[in-house]
Amino acid sequence: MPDPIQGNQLRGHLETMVLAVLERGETHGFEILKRLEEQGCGLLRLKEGTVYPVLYRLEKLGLVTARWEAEDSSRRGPRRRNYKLTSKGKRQLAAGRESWARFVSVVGAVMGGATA
Amino acid sequence: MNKVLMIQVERVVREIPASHSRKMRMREELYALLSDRVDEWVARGLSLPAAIQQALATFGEPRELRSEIEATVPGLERFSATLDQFLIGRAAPAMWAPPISVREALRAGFVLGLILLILLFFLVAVLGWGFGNWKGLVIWKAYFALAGVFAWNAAVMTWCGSRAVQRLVSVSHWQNGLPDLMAWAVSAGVCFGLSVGLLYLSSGWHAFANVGWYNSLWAGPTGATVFAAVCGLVTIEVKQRLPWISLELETE
Repeated sequence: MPDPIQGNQLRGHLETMVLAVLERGETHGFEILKRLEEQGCGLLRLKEGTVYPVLYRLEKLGLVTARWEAEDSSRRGPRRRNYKLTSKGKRQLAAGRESWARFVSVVGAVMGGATA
Repeated sequence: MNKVLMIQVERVVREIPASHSRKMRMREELYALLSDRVDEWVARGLSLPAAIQQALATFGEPRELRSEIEATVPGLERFSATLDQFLIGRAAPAMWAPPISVREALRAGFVLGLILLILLFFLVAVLGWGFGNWKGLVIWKAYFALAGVFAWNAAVMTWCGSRAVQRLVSVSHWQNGLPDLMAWAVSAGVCFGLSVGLLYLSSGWHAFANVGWYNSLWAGPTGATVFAAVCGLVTIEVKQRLPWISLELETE
């Protein structure tokens, strides 16, 4: 199994990754982490608390909105806050994807080694 | 609520200079995250203590999280929270307990009076009042009298307010604290009413002579009402965060 990807290797990409998982629908911090883990095939090793500074930054930039979960008598435990992608967030996600594709293509070409 | 998890959350949030409501939101969200993770580990077969240890291990360093979260707090809010602590010279969690001493209340009054003095100075300077004529001299007297009275009242209200809130927080039902609140509100109102009355009598106040002296009679009851309302609101807010701010944290 390859080495896990640590939080510091994700710096600069975490915001876009969070936007990407929110594209699947409005949800709370823990579910965002689970989606990241699931899509990262178990190779993403995030310090879990770091998802909140990311969410607060995105909220401050108007890329996501947040609201408290509706009261649910069937669920015990503390109330949670759900985050939702805004239209500005969707545009930012599209730009982030483009920039990532460019990064991969450029760095990939260099890392791929010299061709004969 | 689990105290071990709460302590971990509080180690992140306590020192962040932000509004109380924002900090409560942070506490709730970080706690919910930890709690959900613990539940998941328990569902996978770990004992509760082991699940808590596992959740804490993957949560992240409180110091690092704190600085990352602090960077997301708007600048004005950070300034206001820092000023709040500076006024009394106490760290945020100890703001209302133990009650504010006379010295701390005087410090708060002095700082607030100074801030008003500076603000008024710019106002007077910008509007061009106070320079070169008789009426101007009167304005300058009023300017210092107003700042002095404001500082004195801020000190008295802080001192009385701290005691009223302490009492309201300590009683099981708010009605039990009502007589004390009324007593403190009357004290604060009397002080405020007398201060405004003195201002009207002072020569400086004649700069605003179109306002009748009898209006100062309204000052006492109005001051007392505002005082009681503010104490009530602060008590609600302090009660919400009491389970958190009363946690004892190890020094880092």
